[in-house]
Amino acid sequence: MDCIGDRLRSSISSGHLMGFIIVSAAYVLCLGLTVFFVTPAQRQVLPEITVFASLIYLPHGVRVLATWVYGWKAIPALIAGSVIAAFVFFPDAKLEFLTPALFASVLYGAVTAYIAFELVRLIHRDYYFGNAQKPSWKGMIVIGAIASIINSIGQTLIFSGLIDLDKFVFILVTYAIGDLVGLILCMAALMIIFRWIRLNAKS
Amino acid sequence: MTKLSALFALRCMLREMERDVGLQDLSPTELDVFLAAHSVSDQGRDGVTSAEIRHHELVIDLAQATYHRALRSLLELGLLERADGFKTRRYVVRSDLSS
Repeated sequence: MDCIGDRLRSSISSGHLMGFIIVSAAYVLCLGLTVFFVTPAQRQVLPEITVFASLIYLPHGVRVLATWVYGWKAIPALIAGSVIAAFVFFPDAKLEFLTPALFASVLYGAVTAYIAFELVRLIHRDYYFGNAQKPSWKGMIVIGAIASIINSIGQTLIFSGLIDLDKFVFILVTYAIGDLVGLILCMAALMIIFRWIRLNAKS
Repeated sequence: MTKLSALFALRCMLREMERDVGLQDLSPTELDVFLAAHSVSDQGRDGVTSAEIRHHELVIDLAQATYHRALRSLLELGLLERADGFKTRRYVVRSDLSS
């Protein structure tokens, strides 16, 4: 029995570790795509808000899908992904990253999807993977939209000391739009990848 | 919960998304029946009967049950529609696809 218990414990912990690595790696990848492709293009048209918010923030898709699968257990992996991505993509800002506002921003961003899932659960719609509610892409986008609103309000408040009052609402809306568009693009990309795999497997 | 079942659920969810955004892929039989219906409809009539589609060279060799299953599936997908105003059952290719 001990042997079975040990193997079970080992299997569970290795499963969690793998999930942790996948979520963190997906977050780093999506943030990399945002930093290298979205941000430079956005800086050309909206330079004044680019430093705070992105119009297409792909990591929000990772937040929502990871929280759908792992629930609150996704939060540490999302935080780890944010921290790793910060060190990888902004190596010169190591000390800046430790400022309270940025640290609060990372922590808050990681819990927003969880808050949205829990809010939806309050109205008896449990969308977590493995629960009664059938997984639905539309439901996922609704939860992503709620999470993006929660995130935009929180992030704008966190950075309120650094944002000009006249740009406050604009940045708040950009956060919300960026997160939602990021989630939709993330899901569309996965849809196309799965479709490509399926069609190639047939041929 | 296993990693595989999460992946499976994700694929199912995104397959539903594919269908809803109109990227549903047809089986080879469904595609043949659809092309046959489109071809027969092109001859300028208001709707075609199942027998007319059935006699098209693309589908004439299909088993009766297979043909009807494909026809039903195309109706369910909304690619074919029942034509109104006829005593016999006639079908039209969805208007936005027939032009």
